[in-house]
Amino acid sequence: MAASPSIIAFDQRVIVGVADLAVSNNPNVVFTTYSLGSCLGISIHDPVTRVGGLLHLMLPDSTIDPAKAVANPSMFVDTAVPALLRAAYQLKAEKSRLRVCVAGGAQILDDNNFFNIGRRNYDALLRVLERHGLSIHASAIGGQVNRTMMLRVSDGSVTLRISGSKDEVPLCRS
Amino acid sequence: MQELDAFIDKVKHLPPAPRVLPQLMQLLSSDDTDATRVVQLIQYDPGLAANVLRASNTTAFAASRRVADLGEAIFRLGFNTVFQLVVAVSAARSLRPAQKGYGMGEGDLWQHSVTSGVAARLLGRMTGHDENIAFTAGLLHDLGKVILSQVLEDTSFDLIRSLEKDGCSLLEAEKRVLGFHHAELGSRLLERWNFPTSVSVAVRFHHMPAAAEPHHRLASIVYLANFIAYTLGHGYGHNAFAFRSQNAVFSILGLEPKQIDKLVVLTRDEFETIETLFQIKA
Repeated sequence: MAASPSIIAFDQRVIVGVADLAVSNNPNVVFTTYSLGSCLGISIHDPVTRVGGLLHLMLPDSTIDPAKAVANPSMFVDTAVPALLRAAYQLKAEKSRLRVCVAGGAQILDDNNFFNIGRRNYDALLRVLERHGLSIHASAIGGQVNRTMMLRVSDGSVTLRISGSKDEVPLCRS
Repeated sequence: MQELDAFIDKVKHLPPAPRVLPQLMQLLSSDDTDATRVVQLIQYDPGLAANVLRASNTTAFAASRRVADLGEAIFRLGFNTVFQLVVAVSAARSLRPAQKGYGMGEGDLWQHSVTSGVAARLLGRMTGHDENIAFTAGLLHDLGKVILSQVLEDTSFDLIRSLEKDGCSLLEAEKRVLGFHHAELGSRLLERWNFPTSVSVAVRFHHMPAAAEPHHRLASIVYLANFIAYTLGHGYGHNAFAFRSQNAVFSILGLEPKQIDKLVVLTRDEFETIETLFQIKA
């Protein structure tokens, strides 16, 4: 007897824009976010319920524009991270199992606090994660490069592509 | 100067000179500009005329009736918008294509340039500088990359990459390898095209604005606009952040460093409102 035909699942590529976030429990979904310069890309994944989410935030602190933070919480670290977590919890992700990966936070040269948005983003992220009892599993931060970040919802693997290189490098394996 | 001219003269694909632009700048800088003269200038360039008409019929400006007359379109848009549109249309022809030597895909440099132009316009308004001049300088600050990209693609790209690994800025790496950098080259091209000195000087010093005196304010606007555009994630190439921090721009412009995050947000808002306007058909 011939084997029953296997169903081929195609990747559903979902682009996450700047100052935006998305979560899914559809195993075919692969989230991608482009142009991570000083911005941060933050992925979360629960390997048990297979829920994944990706966030692309721009700035550290929402107090500079509270109205904007209400309209678009994904723009600022202090409002974006809680929004990402809430969205994932709604899909039955559980905090204790979440794997957090981070990429971005590029810096210009000899920066000394005036232009250091990348570093301020990262510092703010560490504070928010600590408040939520979360730690970072893997990260690729800083430098002068820009990065593309991809999260595969089926297995939680995260890959990066750095400008100037055609290869994708793993940040976090499944 | 001679070295730059010799290099420019050898380039195979030089961006087309925007003939209308310097004349329009002169026209708009005088107090008694009337629309007929602007119409006269624009109507002979079908690309410009079509884009001005299209913009006047976008949602931001459209009334119940479609505008088909250039004079009415200019009246509806206002001189500032017409001017900025003409700058953008003229520049799009050069800035839209991929700049492979810098690792930029099609539209990348264009998006970076428009974002920088919008940021510069905003900064110009905030600091009491002519917003049309600021927009022009912001939009054209990387013009030199259009020419250098061809060279870097063929010859020196690997060398520049390795220099960057030594902690050089892109500008310093270009200077070491080629003897000049993209800011000098873009500036010289603008001089040859008869742009105002303030614009060409600001472009030349957009990575070291304090040295641009007496045009250091405009150069500082362009430096900050360039930084803001990169922070917004628009149009990167390789090692886009390989440039040096210039803290003097804040005191030159009378701005507080802590305002920078807010400026990023404001630029993003402004960019969204004009995005349809600058969807230019080249």
